[in-house]
Amino acid sequence: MSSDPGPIRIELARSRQGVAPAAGAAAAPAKFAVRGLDFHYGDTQVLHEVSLDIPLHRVTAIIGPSGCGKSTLLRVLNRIYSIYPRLRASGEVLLDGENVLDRAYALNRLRSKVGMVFQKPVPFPLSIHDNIAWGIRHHERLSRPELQARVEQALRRAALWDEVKDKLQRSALGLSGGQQQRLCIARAIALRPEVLLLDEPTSALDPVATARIEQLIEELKGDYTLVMVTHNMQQAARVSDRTAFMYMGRLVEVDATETIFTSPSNRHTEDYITGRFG
Amino acid sequence: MSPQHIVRSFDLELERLASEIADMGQAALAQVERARQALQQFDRPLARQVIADDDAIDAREREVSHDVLRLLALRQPNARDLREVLAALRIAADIERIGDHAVGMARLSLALPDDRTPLPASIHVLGQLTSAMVGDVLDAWRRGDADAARAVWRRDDEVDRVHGVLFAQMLQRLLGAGDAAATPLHLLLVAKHLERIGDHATNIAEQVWFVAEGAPGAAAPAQDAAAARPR
Repeated sequence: MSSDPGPIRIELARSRQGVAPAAGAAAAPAKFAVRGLDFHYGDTQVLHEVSLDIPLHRVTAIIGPSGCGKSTLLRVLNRIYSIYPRLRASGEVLLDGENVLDRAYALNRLRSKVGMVFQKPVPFPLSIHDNIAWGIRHHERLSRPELQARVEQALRRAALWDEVKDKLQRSALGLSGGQQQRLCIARAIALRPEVLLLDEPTSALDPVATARIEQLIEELKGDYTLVMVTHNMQQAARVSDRTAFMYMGRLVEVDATETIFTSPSNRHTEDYITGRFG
Repeated sequence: MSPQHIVRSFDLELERLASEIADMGQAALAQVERARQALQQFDRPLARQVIADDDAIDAREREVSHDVLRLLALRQPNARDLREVLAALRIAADIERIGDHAVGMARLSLALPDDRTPLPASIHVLGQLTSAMVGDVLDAWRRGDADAARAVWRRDDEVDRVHGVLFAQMLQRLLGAGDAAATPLHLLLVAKHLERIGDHATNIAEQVWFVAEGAPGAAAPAQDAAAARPR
């Protein structure tokens, strides 16, 4: 009984009316507008009619039990799924009003706008400097001083500069896990994206490194729109402005994080976040 | 009823907290009943006992505070669990105040002249009303019944009305009483304690509503319960 919520009929996601959104979270315009999104792995449908607004310069957390589709949703936002055969998305994912699912939307353009950070830090086996510079060189032609300035700016923005400024030519693999993850964030923001997708960015980190990343996320949201998938509900509560709860491939509820964690509208959201199933 | 937590010990801790509140509430209600009895029957030993027994209620409130602190720190409750824990802390404070008012009444009963003059009927009515409110709101808490809590909440209007009647009666007596003014004055103070007990029962009713419905209810007790539901 404790781990099986039993058969449920999921109500469509809704934002409760008449409840003041936390910190103007809902008042921000939508950077991403997902509309009627279905997603299939071969014959298996894993996302069902997901509709969701991702507000500009806010942190949106996506929570839900394993297999609920939250990471799939994240991967649709930058079309990273398209490198695999037999995966297909239908519906609309509008980034500033343009449907990124449309093949006419160039992948290079999408990736320069939407950066991604993964669960495990994956630095390239290069120097700290080149980890950042590599992506920039791929997208832009900058003079050497411009490139140096951009590398420094990205490392500063990712709160890593002071720790690495004297060893930029050393291998990134020598950094701690937390430093490597901040390096990955620096690498993503060096390309000046507008959106950052974070897929469980601290699940491999210790509490201190986690706190640093959370602090960084808070600082970054002034300039970027962030979407974070996390299994750590307290992290979603601490860091995000809005929280979306997904279950069995559907968006069950999305609302201001404060509302979701104090008085969610949907019973399944409440059962999940109070640890009654998952 | 909500399904159980995956971590069973969390359920046990929440159950323990709810049961502490229920026990503390019953103890405070018994104090109110005994203080009323001491007043009506001029029972001075009983009044002294009420005063002495207040420490036990204060100790229970400290236990609840400790358990709430522990639950917040170690379990980090969310949503309904969070509301329950927060409400338990607030309700314990209200119950502790109810106990204090029982002590206040007991002290005043010791100050009354032991002449066995029957007390005005309105003070008995006020006592019955407030005791019943406390008993019923504790029952609503135990069952998590928001509608029953709201029904208690609404009854505070009647308490206020009877208190107003009693106040007018005592004022009349005071105006023509001369040296005998002390008794109506003391009874006025007793009435104030009873009226405040009604307010605390109302506060508890608000917490029961908050836990069940997820938002503070609209304050006006006369308002239709369905219309006051936030959702």
